[in-house]
Amino acid sequence: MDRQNFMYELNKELYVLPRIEIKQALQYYEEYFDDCLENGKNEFEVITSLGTPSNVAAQIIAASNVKEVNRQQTFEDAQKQPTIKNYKRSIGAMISAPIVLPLKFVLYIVWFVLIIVGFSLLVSFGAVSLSTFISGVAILIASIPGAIFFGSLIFMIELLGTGLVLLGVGLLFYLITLGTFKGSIKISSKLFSCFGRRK
Amino acid sequence: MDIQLKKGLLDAIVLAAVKKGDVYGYKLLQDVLTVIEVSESTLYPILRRLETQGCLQTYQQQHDGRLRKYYSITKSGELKLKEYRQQCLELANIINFIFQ
Repeated sequence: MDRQNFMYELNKELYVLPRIEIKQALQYYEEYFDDCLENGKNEFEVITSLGTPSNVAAQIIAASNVKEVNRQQTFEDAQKQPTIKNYKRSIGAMISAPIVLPLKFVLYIVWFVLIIVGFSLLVSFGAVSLSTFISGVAILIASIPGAIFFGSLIFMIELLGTGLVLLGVGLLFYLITLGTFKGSIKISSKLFSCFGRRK
Repeated sequence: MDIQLKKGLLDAIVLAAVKKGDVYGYKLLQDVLTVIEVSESTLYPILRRLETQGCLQTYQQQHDGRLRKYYSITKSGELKLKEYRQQCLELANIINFIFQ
């Protein structure tokens, strides 16, 4: 590993730190290299005495309070470094913020509405299936005393038929409810994972 | 020397070394090395921390066509050093006691 490699690796290892911190550290070590070379050491000696770049970086990171430095950096960035990059960053942030934020908000509302619609469909279908099923059973049960009361076999068969039809409709709605339930879970989980990726 | 003890002393050593006169990184390391064994990778984080804490301040000076960063001690750095000296006096008493 030569000096250039060492500095490159160190730069990479420091990525968790704010830019100003990385710049400071790299500057310091560049200067240190220069001073060592000036005092008759060679690159190889310097690097072996420094240790691996990841070890050097770990010590810098451990000693820095990343959060505290972050706040300071935004301030310093704004005050001292009105570079094109900073302007670009801030303009980009300003432009994208009013679009992205409402977009996200709308997406959340859509998601919320979909959940409510799915839920109400579920409840209504469930109610329809339950009520038709119950009335079907009731008519089936009622057909026997009804037939005895009216003394007519045809009436009993009519009642039995109606009861069976109602049972069928109830079963159908039960299946629809089940399908809606499964479908809504699938859709909402997909939408949710979509949000997750967006964040 | 014990690592914990060394860590505690290093801040004091650095402050004391800078108080003797403004100094740049490489020179400071040489000064510190005369009293305690320390690797270069431990010195920079200490310097940076002392700087962000306001105990040290820096300025740059031309040297051989490149910039050199000099460290100098601030008022609060001197106060801090005073505290360390007080603590070191206590430590000296302890050391005396141990050797009696």
